Amino acid sequence: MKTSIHILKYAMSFSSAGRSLFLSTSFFIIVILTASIGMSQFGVSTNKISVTILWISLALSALLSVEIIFQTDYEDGTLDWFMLSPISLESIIVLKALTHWVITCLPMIILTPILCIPLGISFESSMWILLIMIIGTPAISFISTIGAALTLGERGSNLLLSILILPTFLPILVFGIKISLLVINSIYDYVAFFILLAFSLVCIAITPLITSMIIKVHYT
Amino acid sequence: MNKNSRSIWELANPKRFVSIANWIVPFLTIFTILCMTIGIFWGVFFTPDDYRQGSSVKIIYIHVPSAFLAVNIYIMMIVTSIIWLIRRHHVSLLAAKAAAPIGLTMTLVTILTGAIWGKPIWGTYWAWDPRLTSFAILLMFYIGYISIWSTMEYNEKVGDLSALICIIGSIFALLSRYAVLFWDQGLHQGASMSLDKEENISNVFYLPLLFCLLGFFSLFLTILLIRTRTEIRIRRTNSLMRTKLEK
Repeated sequence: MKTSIHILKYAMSFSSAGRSLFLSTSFFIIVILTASIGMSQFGVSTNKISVTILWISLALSALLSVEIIFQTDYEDGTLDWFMLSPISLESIIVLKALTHWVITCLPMIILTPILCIPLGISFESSMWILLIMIIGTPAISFISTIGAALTLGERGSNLLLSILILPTFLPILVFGIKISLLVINSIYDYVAFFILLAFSLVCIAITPLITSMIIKVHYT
Repeated sequence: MNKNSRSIWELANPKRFVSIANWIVPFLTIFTILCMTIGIFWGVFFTPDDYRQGSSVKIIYIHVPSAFLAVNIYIMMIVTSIIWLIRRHHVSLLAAKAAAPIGLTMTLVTILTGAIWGKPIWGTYWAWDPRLTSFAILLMFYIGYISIWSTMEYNEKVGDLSALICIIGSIFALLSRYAVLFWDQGLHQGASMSLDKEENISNVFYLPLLFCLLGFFSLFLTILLIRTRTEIRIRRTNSLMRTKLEK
């Protein structure tokens, strides 16, 4: 029992967490600021574009910081040790994904109400968007672990990662963007809300299994 | 198991597969040329114009068969990937690898012909209709599958990864499709030919379309056999080179 807790604790500590937190959050801020400066040339606020930019930049910055999940563990042999440990690989992956969510997605979600000001979204709807993001983004972190496992041991494969994983974000992105837009227009579609929650939960349920299968491929 | 029993798994032997492919490809080529010539000539020159769409209706003789293939090639890739994961037959994996670029081409042909047809009829080249969106999604997953092969060298590990990507892709492609369908049902007309419906399109259009479907399908089979044969030979050459280098 004590060993298990120790292993789980170890799985949650990322060596480059601070650097990654800074980089992914900065990427998010820079993308949104650049886009809103470009949009300000229209002269009118365009909610459709701003909501899309918000979600896409969140997904991209979560995706591009995915290397921290397994890369160092794979290189220094910690992953081998995890596979030999009595704890199942799936539970370690769940912890890794949750930690990734706390490090990269949570700061961005907290920053969202502030970044909604340059994007021209009102404060009230930005709080709703924050809630929708809390529901939707765990799926993004969990799906990202698939990408991390796929490109294990290949440095600088960010492009391949985006090609493979970005299309799988589509269900979450489509629903997130649509519900956010409806909320901005003061329409509260609870059915869509629950379907987004269901998508998120399905991803949390199946992706650890897929990811552990992919990691085992690397060790056969 | 009886040694003389013939089963489909005999084809898993690359040598046997190549010899059968060598035998079958010339016949398939002739069959393809015949069917496509008859279908397309009949369809384009000897059918009446539609009363609303005019001559532009004739693009269905390319649009429908390529759309049919684009979707079904992905399903075939899923099946062969699963066979690879379970039974570890290299031919199966190589068939999936060989089919992907054909599927990508068919998807592009579908989108292109649809755009050419859509401009005069719908008034736009592209609309975010659920069916069109599904093809955009399909295109992305084909590109993903091909890119994993193009960035890494052929070995069993990459084979496993690509098979898994294919299966994961199918799950998420379906989810995305229904996510898009959730809000609107779209502009594109429903299927106008199916086996279980009372009213299909009229026979004047139906028969040449059937020839085109057959022709496209055997075109796919021909290219698939040739490409798989090539992949098997490339693999054999590579392993020969490796053994020579090791000596």
